[in-house]
Amino acid sequence: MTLLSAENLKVAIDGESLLDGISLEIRRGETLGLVGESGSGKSMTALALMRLLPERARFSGRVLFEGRDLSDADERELCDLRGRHMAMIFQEPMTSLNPVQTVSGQIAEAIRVHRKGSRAEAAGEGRLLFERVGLGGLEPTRFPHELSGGQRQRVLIAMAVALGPSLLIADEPATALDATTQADILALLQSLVADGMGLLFISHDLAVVAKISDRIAVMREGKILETTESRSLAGLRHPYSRAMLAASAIRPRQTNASCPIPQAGEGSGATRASNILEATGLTKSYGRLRAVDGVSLSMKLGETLALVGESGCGKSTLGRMILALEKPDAGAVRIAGEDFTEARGAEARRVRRRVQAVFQDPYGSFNPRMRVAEIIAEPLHLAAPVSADVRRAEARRLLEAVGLEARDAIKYAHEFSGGERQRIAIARALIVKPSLIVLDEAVSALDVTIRAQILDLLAALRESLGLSYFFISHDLAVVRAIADRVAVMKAGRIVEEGAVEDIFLRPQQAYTRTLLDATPQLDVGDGQ
Amino acid sequence: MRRAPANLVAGAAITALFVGMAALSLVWTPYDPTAFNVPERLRPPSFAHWFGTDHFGRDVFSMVMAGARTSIAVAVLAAGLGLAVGAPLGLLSASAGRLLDEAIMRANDVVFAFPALLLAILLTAVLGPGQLNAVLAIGLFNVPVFARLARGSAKALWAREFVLAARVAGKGPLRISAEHIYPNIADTLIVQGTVQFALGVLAEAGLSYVGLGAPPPTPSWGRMLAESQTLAGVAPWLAIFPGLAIALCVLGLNLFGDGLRDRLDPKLARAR
Repeated sequence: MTLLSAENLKVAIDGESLLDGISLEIRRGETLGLVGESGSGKSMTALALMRLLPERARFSGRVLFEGRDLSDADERELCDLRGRHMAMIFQEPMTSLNPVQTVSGQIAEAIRVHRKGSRAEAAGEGRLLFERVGLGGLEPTRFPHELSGGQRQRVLIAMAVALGPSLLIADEPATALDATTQADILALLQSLVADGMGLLFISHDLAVVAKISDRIAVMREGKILETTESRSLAGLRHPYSRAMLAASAIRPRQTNASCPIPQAGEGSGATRASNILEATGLTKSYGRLRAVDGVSLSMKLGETLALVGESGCGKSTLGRMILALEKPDAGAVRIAGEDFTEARGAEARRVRRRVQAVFQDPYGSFNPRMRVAEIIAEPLHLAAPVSADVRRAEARRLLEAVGLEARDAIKYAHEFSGGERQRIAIARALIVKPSLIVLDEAVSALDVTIRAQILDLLAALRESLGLSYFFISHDLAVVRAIADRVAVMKAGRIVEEGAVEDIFLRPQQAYTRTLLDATPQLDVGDGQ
Repeated sequence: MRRAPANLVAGAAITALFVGMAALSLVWTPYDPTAFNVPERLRPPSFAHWFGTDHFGRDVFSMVMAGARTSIAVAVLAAGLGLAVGAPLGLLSASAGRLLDEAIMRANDVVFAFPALLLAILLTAVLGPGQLNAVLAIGLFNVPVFARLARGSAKALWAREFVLAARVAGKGPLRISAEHIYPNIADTLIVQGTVQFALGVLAEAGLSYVGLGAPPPTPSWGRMLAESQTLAGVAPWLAIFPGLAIALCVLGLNLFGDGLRDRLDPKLARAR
C-alpha cells in the first residue's frame, strides 16, 4: 500500500535548479533506497518531502502522504505531521542532539511536544524506546558527548520513532560510523521496517543501499534516473548506474606471489632497496589514553602496506609518527635505513624528501590563499633552492602527470572538485620524488566513481615511479584493491598482519573477522 | 557578491569624514585653532563660528578639526603598535612549545588584569604627558588583545591539514606562521584593528581629559571637554561638539569594523 508518493518535485534556489521533477513512491513496510553521488540532490529530496526547505527555495510539485495532499497544508499542519507521522534522522548524530540535555530528557521532550501526558509517563515511554533501539543498558542521565557515535545514532532513531511515525527518512544515517556499528544500525532500521514503517534510506554507498533496500532509486543532477523493482543491483540498467556500480565494485588487486621490488639492483645495496620503512616499538600517549602502543612495522620498497581499523584505534597517530609530525614517546622510525625520529635540520629535510603524504580532506589540505602552482611546489623547500621558473615548470609537469592540465597552475584550490583536489595533493607529494607516500584516508571523502579514478591513478604512479604506499583506511574494499599487505589495528596495537589475500580469505583473529563481516558486500547479482 | 552591507558604507563614510577633516586641518582650518580672540569669546554657534567660540575666543570648529588629527594619530599609532607587537607574539605563542606559549600568555594576562585606561593613566603619569607617551600607553594595552586573538585564530589553523602538508614539506614553525597562518588570520586582525582604533580614540580622549594627553596648545577633544566643564551652563556648545565628535568617530569606526567583518567573513554574512 502506498504510504507516500511524490510527483514532479521541483526545487530551485536563486534560479539554480536543484531538483528537476522528482517522482517517487514509498510503501508501508518497505525501504526505498535513494542513492547518488554528492550534489545529486538526495538530501534536497528528503527536505522537499518534509517541506523543510531553505527560505529562498522555490518549490513546486505534489506530495501525497497517507492519501492526503500536502500541497495546501499550512506550516502548523506540517509541524504536526513532522515528528508524529514522518520523522527524519541525519548523518551526524552529535550535531543533531542538544549537548546540554540528557538523552532521556531529549526523548521525553520529543514525546511531549506532540502528545499530552505527564513527565513520568514520557520518561517511562522513553525507557521502552531505549530498549527498542538496543540501548536498554544505558543510563538515561547520560549526556550526548558521553556516548559513542553508534549510541548517539540510536538515540536519534529512538527520538525519531518515539511517536510511531509511519515514515522515516534516514539521510546517510550510518556513513559517519565504523563498519561494525554501521551494520548494527542497519539491522535496527530493518527491524523497524519489519514492524510496518516505511523507510526512505539515503546514501552514497551502493553496497549499503543494496543491503537494506527493497527498491533502489538512482539520482543524478536533481533527477531520478531509474528505480528498480527489486533489491538486486542487477536490475540497474541506466549507463550511469552501471558505471557507479562498476566503480563501487572494486576489483581485488592482482598480486604477484612475492612483493615486487623494482630496480632492485639500483642504489647502494640490497638493504637500502629492501626496507623503505622500519618502525620499531612506536608508542604515543595522550594523557591517560595510549593511542599507539608498541607498534613495529616494516615495508619493502615498492610495497603497499594498508593499515585498517575503526576510528580512534590510533591509525592516524601512527601515520603522523611515521611522517615525524608527531614525536613518539618511545620507539623510532627509520626511512631507507636513516633515522627519522631524531633527525634535525638538513638531515631531517633529506629524509623527508623520501616520505611525503596525502591527507583525507580534499577541502582542508590547501591554503585557500595560495595558487595551485605554489601549493604543488611547496615541498621543493626540502631540496636545493631553485628559481621560480623551475618551480612553476615542475608544478605544471606534475599537474599533467596526475591528469590535470598545466594551465590549472594559476588557479586556486577552491576552483576544483574533490577528486581534482586529491590529484593536486598527490602532485604535491610527488614533486620531491619520494619513495614512500603516506595516504591517510586519501580516498575516503570521494564519490565512488572519483574514488575509482584516484585509485587507478595511484596504481599507475606506483608502477611507473616504483612508489611505496602506506595506506591508512577504514574501508576494507579499497584496501583489498590496492594493498600488498594489510595490518589490522585495534586500540593502539597491531592485532594481525599479513598478505592481503590471507587477511581477507583466511583471517586468523576474531577482530579481523568481525571487521570483514561488517563490511557490506556488493552483490552484483546475475548481471554481467 | 551581494549588496554591500549598509553598515560598511555608513562606517566607511563617517571614518573618511573624520580622516579627511584631520588631513584638511594640516593645511587649512577656518580660524587658527590656537589663536586667542578675547572679544569674540563664548559666542554661540553662528555663520561666522559654526560651533561657536570658547572662553579664549578660539573657534570651536577649527579646534574639533585639529583635535581629530591628534585623536586619529594617537589611536592609529597605538593600534599599529599593538598589532605590530601583539600579532607576532600570538603567532609565536601558537607555534611554540608549551613552556613559551604559557609564558607569553600569562604575561598577557598580567597586562589584561589592569583596567586598560587606568594603566594608561599610570604609565603617562610616570612617563610624563605627551602624544608619544599616550601612544605607548594605549599601544601597550592593545598588545595582549592582538596577541590573544592571533594565538586563538592561529591555533585553530595549526590543526588544519594544509598546515600538516606544509610540515610534511619540511617547513619550520616560523615559516609556516609567516606563509600559511598569518595570511589566513590577517582579515581577523584587521577587523580587530578597527575596534582597537575606536577604543584608542576613546582612550586618547580620556587621557587628555585628565591632562595626560597632548599638552596645550595642541587641540584635543578630551581637553576641550575638560575645559568646557565649568562653562557647561553658560556655553553648552563647548561640550556638545567635541563630545559629538568623539561619539560619531567611534560609532563610525565600529560600523566600519562590523561591515568589514561581514564582508571578509562570507560565512557570517550568510548566517545573518
